[in-house]
Amino acid sequence: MSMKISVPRVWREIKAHYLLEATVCSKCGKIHYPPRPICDNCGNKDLLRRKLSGEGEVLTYTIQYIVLEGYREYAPIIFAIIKLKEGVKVLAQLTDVEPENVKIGMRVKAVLRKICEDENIGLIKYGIKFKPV
Amino acid sequence: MKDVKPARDVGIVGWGTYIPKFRIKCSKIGKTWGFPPEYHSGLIVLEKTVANIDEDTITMGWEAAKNALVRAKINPEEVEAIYVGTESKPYAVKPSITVIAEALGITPKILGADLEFACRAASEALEASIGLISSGMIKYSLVIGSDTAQASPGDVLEFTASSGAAAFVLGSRGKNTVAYFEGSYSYITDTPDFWRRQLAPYPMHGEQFTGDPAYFAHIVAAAKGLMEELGLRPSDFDYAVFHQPNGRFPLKVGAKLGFPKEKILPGLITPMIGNTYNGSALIGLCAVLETAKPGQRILLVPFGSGAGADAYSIIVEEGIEEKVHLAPTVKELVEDKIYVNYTHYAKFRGLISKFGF
Amino acid sequence: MVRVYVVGVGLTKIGRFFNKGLRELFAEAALKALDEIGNETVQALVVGNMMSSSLGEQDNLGALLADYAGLGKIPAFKVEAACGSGGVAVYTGYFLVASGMFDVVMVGGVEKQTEYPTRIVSKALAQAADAEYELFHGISFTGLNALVMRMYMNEYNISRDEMSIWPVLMHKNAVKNPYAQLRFEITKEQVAKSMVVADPIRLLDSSPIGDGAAALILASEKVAKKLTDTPVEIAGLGMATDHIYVAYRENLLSFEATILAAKKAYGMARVEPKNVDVAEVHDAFTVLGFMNLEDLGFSERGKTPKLMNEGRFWPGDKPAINPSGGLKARGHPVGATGVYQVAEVVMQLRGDFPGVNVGGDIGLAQSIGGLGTTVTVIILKR
Repeated sequence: MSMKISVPRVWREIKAHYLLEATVCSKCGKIHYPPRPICDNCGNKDLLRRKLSGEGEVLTYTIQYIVLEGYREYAPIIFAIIKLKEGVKVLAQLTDVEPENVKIGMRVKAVLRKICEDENIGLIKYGIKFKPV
Repeated sequence: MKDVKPARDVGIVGWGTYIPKFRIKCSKIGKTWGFPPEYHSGLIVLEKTVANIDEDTITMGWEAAKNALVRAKINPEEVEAIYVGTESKPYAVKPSITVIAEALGITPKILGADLEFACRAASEALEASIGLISSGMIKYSLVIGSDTAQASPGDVLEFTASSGAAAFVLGSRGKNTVAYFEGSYSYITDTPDFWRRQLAPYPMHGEQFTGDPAYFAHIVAAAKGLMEELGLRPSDFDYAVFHQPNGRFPLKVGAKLGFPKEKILPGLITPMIGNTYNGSALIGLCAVLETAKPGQRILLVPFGSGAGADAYSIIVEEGIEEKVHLAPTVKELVEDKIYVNYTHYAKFRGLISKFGF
Repeated sequence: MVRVYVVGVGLTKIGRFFNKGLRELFAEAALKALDEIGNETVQALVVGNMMSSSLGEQDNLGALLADYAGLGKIPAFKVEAACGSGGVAVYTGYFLVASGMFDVVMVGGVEKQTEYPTRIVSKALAQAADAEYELFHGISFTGLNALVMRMYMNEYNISRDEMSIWPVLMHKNAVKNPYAQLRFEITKEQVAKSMVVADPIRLLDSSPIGDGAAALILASEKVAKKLTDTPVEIAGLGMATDHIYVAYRENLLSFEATILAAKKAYGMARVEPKNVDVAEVHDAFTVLGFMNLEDLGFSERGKTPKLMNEGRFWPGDKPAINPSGGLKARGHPVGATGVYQVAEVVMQLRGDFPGVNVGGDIGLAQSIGGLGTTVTVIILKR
């Protein structure tokens, strides 16, 4: 019984992946997503945590037909870089939308969805995707 | 016999629904399996929802809960209990509430669990929450009913077994509740009308047996029991929302109890979305909350196979109308749809084996 | 610092070699390079490789390859920077010699991508991206590049047809290159009609999956002329990295790492873009080819597709771009590519490149790891 999805890796990233939790520099105010240990703008190590809004618009997207191992049933997968209200950009899948209806500039919001499963015996990986508003 | 009323009144602070976007017409299912044409018209169901390939009980429950919290207008961190009633847990062992609670940001100081009692598990969670809140143990409870119902391909259940979720934030009756529970009454016996064994992918049912000895007997007993205890009659209620496995049973049981169909139709959503199991009666309640006026009285009777029914008398309060449009309404969610054919439905629902993928 | 020269090269053909593993391929290239220097003793080995671990169950690659190439018990190690491993291997080898510690160093690159079906190789390749926040979502490396291609075409209003000139030119150049994987011409129509991989990237926009190995011998000034009559100097080099999470960057239409690495390299070599005669740039996908030329200072932002359609950058122009056929047609054995590029530029400057021969005095090789995450720029002078 092989295990493809790592238990601790999924667990320790829960807040970043379920809640879009970012770090914010207490000195210069830069928002970092993904969260990081030290501000790359001013070097400050005193960082606060903040959940991002999950509301934004599509900057660019792709429709991926050739998918990775473990994702076969999800093809085609739509990926996008989304610019959130806060000005931060994130990479995520788009869901509940037909490929031909995706447009640059489309307004989207974050929803919790299954990302993939480790067959039918391993973990189910959940995360944030975006769907049209 | 327990008290039908708790020591202190408990009410609904917020409600939310989630209905998946994809639909499949019953006629397509009938055609695939060679059912007589219009077989499903007898069930009074036109089409049903199909969860997307990346949706499950957890993701739908989360979205319904989000909508409920938005309407509740409370800090999510004040929720101290969370329950999911479901018969389609993504894991046989590993709770759904933990994923939902983390994704709502309400861990770790909470209690809760996934409950199972076929379609009435979420209703049992309502009962438990009324107890917890009225005793003063907790302030708010989040109750979710969510299912991606299973049906054997080619079985009559396939016409109606669908996916959806409803969620309620409950709290002490007060300034922020929009409706409160006047009383509740449960009626449970060992009646094996419908079941699913541990590793079986699809349920089995007793066909005609699911009617009189199960659905009708328990709903009638619970409703009559409640009305007797509260000294109420059907004419005292403005709405009657029953568990709705199809479009026909609620009208029939309503008639048996003396409720005209005008009081049942506003909460009868199954004809458009199928039977969402733990979402069934509760989505009907959400629809009614979105049209009800302060002062009106709602009868809610969920039913779960195995079997049991609960009857609630709910009184609508001031302030409900302001909350209706804070989140998507049942009507809006029902109308937001994309049709799929049987092959996509089969793929999304895992009916086509993906062994090796 | 000691001056460093490339005194010998060895390449294998690039293709699907089910009958050759990492050690066989590497030995083939290494022995050819050693042959060019009369089998002089090599004092250290740096190997560029990305996936020996994820696809070949092989770590400790430096020691393994030093042993199998008959180099003895010398210092040997692997450097990894995803698809830019080769460039980083050359960068590292340079300093081993420049420091004065070693006089003769072998820099090699080798990759085996054909051990498994595509869906598994794709996942290994996607490890060039951010594992926790990009690969987590299931995006392939092609998908990541497709996000940039759409943005580039949208921003500068460039049509599918205009973009297609890149792979057409690459294939045309590769026909004559005996080491190239894809030695046949293609048309723009074929590019536009080829299978969609991750829209808008089509199959013929993407470098192929293949195996290959390349080796260079670097020598200090003191030793170089004894080993060859045609040493080529590494006159300048630069390397830079960028945020691996692509969405964290300000500008997605330019690779800041290329600009920083190129600045260092041009400065050190005391040349400007306009002095470069021939360049082998990292065109893993069509859009990258154009962006690289802009980041390296050969053309203006967004204008490169039009220029190439008009005839710029073809053999005979200055700079001539990817006369080998580039990653698109010569091939892209991932960790080895950066070494191939330097070997090809060296051969161009020596005048003995067996394919399209453009010659010149100053050449440039650019290698990228990830989506502009790690970039090396190497400038060679005759």
